[in-house]
Amino acid sequence: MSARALSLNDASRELLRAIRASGISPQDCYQCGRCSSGCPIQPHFDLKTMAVVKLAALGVERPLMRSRAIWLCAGCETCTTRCPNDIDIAGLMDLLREYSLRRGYRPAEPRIAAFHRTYLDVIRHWGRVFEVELFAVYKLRSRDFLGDLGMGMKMFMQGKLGLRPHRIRDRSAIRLIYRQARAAREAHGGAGGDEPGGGRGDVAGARGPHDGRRGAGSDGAGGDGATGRGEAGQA
Amino acid sequence: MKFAYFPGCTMKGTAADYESSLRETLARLDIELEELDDWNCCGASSAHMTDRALDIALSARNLELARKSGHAVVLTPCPACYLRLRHADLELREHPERHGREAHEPRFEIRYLTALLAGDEMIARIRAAVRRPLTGFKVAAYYGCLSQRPPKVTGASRPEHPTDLDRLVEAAGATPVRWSHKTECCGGSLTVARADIVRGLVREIVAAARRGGAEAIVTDCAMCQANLESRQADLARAGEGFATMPVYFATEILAAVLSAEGGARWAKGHLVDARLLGEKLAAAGRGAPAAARAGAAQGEAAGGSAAQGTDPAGASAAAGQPAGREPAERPREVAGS
Repeated sequence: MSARALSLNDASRELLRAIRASGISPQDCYQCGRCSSGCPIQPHFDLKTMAVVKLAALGVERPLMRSRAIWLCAGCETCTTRCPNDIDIAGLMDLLREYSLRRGYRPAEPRIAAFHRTYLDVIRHWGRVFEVELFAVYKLRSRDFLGDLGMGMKMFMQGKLGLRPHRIRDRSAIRLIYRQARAAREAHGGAGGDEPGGGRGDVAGARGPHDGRRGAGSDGAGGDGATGRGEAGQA
Repeated sequence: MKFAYFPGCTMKGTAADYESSLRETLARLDIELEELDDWNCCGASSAHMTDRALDIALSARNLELARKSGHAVVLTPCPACYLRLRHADLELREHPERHGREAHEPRFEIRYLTALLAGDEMIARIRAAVRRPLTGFKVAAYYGCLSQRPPKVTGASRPEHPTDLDRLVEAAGATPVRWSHKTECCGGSLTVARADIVRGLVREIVAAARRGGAEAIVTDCAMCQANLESRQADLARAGEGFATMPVYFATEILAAVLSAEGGARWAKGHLVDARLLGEKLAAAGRGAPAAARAGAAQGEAAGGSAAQGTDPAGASAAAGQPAGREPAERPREVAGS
């Protein structure tokens, strides 16, 4: 964040509309600081949890979208549980993360974004987690080639990681769910539903193993937005 | 008793030992499970964190499968799956129109395995069925996040100071210690992409368990278990004298005391040295089982005759009761220091 004071010009009507549609009320915050003090990841945040809430209440989009905090939030729900004003802060983090993807912001924590995207791609294809593919594709996308290879080998030797996917029979139902989720998002105030295939934070721009069999973005969420739009519209 | 069963993906992969031990435990308690046919992944953290409509829709399919099963209860052992199912159920009840429905009013109940097992009746059943109580085994009951928080969704009555796992290990004859990090997040959802941050969280949780006097951690979360052990393995490999502490599933403890056997079996699926439970079980077998069992039946914490504690100073701080009020400190020092 820059040092200059915020002005009304910083408020994003789109962001405020998305927050209002979610039913979450960051405007109810009186800045007691319980969310920040209870957050286990706070030492690694660039914006304190409470600052995220305040900026969201004001609709100040860019500092939020460019923050590491919205990506580093582990979703532990401590802030939501402790908020005396009943603000679903973890839910707000989810909303901001999703909003940033739909609007094409480049995630400040690209590996985390790449992991989520890869995870959802795997589920779209098989209906359940297929760990070997998840890790292989994540590594390609994130260029995080070395991490956890030893642990993976140990789990493989223990028979916990199969080379064949755990696939469900009715995979077409899952693909339908992905399409319907997209439609629901567009119909009910989801952020940026008019922008198909918003960037989902690839580092390497590697395509997923199943992308070729499907038009980019044809299944909605997780559509192949390898290049994203960076921070288009802000230049 | 028979329940519909939603295992979740980890039970078929990285937490296969959780599933085999819970199946053994429930069979010995005369509980039958009927796995939902063709269930799908709940989307875990990634769906709700980046695509909220998808999160609801993935769980909605599973809720529909549960309704069709005709059971009054769908039981899940996974905290993340539990939270996603409950969250979707609530959201669909409150806002069916947002998700293209007229109404969502199923009658079945979504229940969490540990909460079911920790009910008074089940605890009595467990106590009666224990064949070899783990008297003197001091453990830190670790709940993690999602079985408790947020309480509006989970229904947890004491989300900051839960007691269910403590009750289970106590029923197994072991001693749950008082400690500070019962519900501190281990960072599981970040563990792949930001292992560096997560190692720090894991180091603090293990240090807190050791300070509380625990010899092992007991959890009921598949992600926590894998995360706590794999990151401890990292820390041990990195040197600096980090000593690992095994992290058992509560159902591994229960299956062990209900079957009175296992030995090496309980170490095989772990990522750090986890022979301790087998050793404790063997030691309990060599001791005086009848007396020990009587002690366990009264919920007493017998002296550490079988204890192989690594932290005698901390052990003295261990209290015999579960889940008291705990200081909200967040310790910083390195484990074993």
